[in-house]
Amino acid sequence: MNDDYSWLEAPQPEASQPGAGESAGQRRGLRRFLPRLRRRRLASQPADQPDATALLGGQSERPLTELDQRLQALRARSLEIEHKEEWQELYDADQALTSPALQEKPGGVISAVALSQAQKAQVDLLTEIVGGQVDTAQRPAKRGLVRRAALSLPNIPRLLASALLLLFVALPFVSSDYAPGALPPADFAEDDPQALAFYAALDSLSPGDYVLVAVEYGLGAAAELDALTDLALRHIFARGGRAVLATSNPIAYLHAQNIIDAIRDRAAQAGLRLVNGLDYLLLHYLPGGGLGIRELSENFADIARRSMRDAPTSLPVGSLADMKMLLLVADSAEDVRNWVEQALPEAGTRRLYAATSLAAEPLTRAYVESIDRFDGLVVGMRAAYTYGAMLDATFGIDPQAAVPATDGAVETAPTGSAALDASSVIQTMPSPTPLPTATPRPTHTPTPLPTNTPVPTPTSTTAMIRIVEVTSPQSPVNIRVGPSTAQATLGLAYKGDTLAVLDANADSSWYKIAMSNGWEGWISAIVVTERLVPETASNGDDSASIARERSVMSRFYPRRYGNIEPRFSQANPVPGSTRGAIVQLRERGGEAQRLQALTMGTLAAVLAIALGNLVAAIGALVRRG
Amino acid sequence: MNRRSRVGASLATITGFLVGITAVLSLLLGDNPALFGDGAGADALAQNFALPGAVLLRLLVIVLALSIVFGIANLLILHTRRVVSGRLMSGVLLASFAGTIGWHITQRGDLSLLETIQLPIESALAALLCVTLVAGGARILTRRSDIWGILFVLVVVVVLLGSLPLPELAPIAALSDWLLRIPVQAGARAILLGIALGSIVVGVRALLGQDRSLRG
Repeated sequence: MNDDYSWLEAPQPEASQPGAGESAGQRRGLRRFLPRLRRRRLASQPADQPDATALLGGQSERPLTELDQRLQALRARSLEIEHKEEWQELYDADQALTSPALQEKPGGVISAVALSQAQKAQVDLLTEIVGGQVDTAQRPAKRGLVRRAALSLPNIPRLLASALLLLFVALPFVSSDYAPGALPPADFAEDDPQALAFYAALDSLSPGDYVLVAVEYGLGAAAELDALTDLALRHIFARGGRAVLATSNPIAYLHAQNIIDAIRDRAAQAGLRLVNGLDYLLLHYLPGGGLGIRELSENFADIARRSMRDAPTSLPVGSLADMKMLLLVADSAEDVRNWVEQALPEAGTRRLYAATSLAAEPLTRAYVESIDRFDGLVVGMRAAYTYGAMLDATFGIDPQAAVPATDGAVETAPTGSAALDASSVIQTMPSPTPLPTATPRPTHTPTPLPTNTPVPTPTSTTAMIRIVEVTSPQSPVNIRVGPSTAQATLGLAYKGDTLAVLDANADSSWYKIAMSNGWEGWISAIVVTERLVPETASNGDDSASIARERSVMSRFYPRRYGNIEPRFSQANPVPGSTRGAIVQLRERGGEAQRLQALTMGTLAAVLAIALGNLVAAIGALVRRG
Repeated sequence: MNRRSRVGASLATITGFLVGITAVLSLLLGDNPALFGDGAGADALAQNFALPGAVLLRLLVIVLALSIVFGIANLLILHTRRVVSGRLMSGVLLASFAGTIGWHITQRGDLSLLETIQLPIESALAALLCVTLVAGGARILTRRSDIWGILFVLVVVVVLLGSLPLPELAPIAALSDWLLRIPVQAGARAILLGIALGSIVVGVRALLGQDRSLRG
């Protein structure tokens, strides 16, 4: 054993002397109540390497008197041990127990711990984050670190693995010759009843059904789950359902908003209108993870009263039990656990369905197989591909047209471009192909869409529409929820604003007016003047009404009400005959290549891991031999 | 322990006990009107019991939300100090923060920052993670060349190969499927059981005042 404790007596550097560079607040810390002992370094420690004591000593400690009584008693006992010299003679106790010199140090044995510069930098960062004082005297010179990194040799195994991955992943995008394996099937196989149940549940939605969509994924799983989120939302909209989105993950919230916006914008190109507040609603962010979800499930009516932008929603549901179903998109087992344990018990008899990443699959399957009301599960990119193919088959896209059979290698959009043109949208909505019913649970009985009439070609006709112009000198005037001054105010209109008239009350004392985003309100006839204006209209097509509203309302919305959302009960629904186009109007380019790149990338990973470890194992055997 | 500290700890313990018991009773009784008999009276009574729990939960969520605000404020102060001490990247962070807030206010609803910055960075980080994992996986036996290391590598290779859509690898796929369905499922259920038991233990300790971290 090493009996040399001379390093403990090594002089302390000037920069770390107690009192030097310390604030009064630091001196009020723990060291005020402890003997002022010198800090020392390990004999082998480089002079510029900081020790843990210096770090601890640089922080403001709580006074000793604030320590728990038992800790104080423990400390007193340890100090008593120090003075029992007979212990030193028993069984090398001076080696087994902490040495007296170490015991006297404020940091105890921690003082013997030496930190590398990288560890010191991490401790500094953490200390700064929690508001502590950082010992800047020993901060490493940044330039030196950079120079050292620049001169360091590249990590050869990592470079090789990176090159292999890059090469394999890029190949499917370069040539269709490098496309091993088959694409996923066009429908969920009979041996995957959970995926089948997922599809069947969404396909059985009726117009007006509310679906709570919990979006809980971020950085790592966006590639897997963005597509599933997109498809599930399109499926809900296509069946006339209404999605209420909630999340306890702000990044997931951004992803969901981005996906919703893309769906809405693409639908708008085809003359379809998805209305924020009617077809979908984003609830505000739920802080606190599982607690936030618990709060949502117990106080759903209160939370759903206002949207993410603090606008009133008038959502006609009071609890999770009023939803048709719960849909969870999650990338971690923790999120699945939170929603299953905190939300599902409050959802009455409603069922939960999930789309997860591969990482969350094992634990999610444990729940699915254990809980009666957790029915369906789809996992990862391959499920997204199959899900999309099933939606195409259900809503009118021929999968063979969408995915040419050229060895299953390259997929192109039916129109030759990545996006479908609005004019080429197939509006005939055949009944979905019956799915196999492998188990009693997934009963796939898709609801047929209301009509099979194609979208009529807009034919321009000249018509007169009713508008009102605000003429009251007492501008602005109120727009209210109902035809009464007792009703709540939705917003304001200014003198000169023109509003499209939808209806009027019995005595025409109030006009019901519309806005381009679907919001409807009432305005008093006293403050406006009604007149007819010529407007290009069509034969009842909904897109024409959008054009009309926009032309009339563009000066009114969103200039003044851009941050206010329409209410659920007051907006116009998307016509049922055109809902299927929401599914059809999605980008399809590159799905097959991405899956093939995934296959190739997995192959490269297997090769790298197997070869690398084989070399390591052979090297180990050679060394031992 | 001095008298003041002892009184403070006692108060914190009593408060924690009362709040915990209230929340538990509220949860148990508020959700079970049948415990109070039949009829509207029982429902009303159950709702009375449910109310304190709901209020406490809401208070907790508000506190958590406030902690986020404080966290953001702390980060801003920290990076402001770092800017003062000459850290350039902290200045970039503060400018980005201000720019994002300003953009959101002036261009409400516009997600172009997400499209052009957040998503590419996320993708790049995910790709880096993938490369790092593969490179690390290739060196497992360099770090640990024993039976457990070999077993680990074998399982990784089998599961990865089993996920490939190649008919030639059907036997490996079957093995991979068995691994995922039996051992992994067992592990997942064990984790769930462990979490449940741990939650009960922590809850009981907190209620009895034995968990010092919750005693203030």
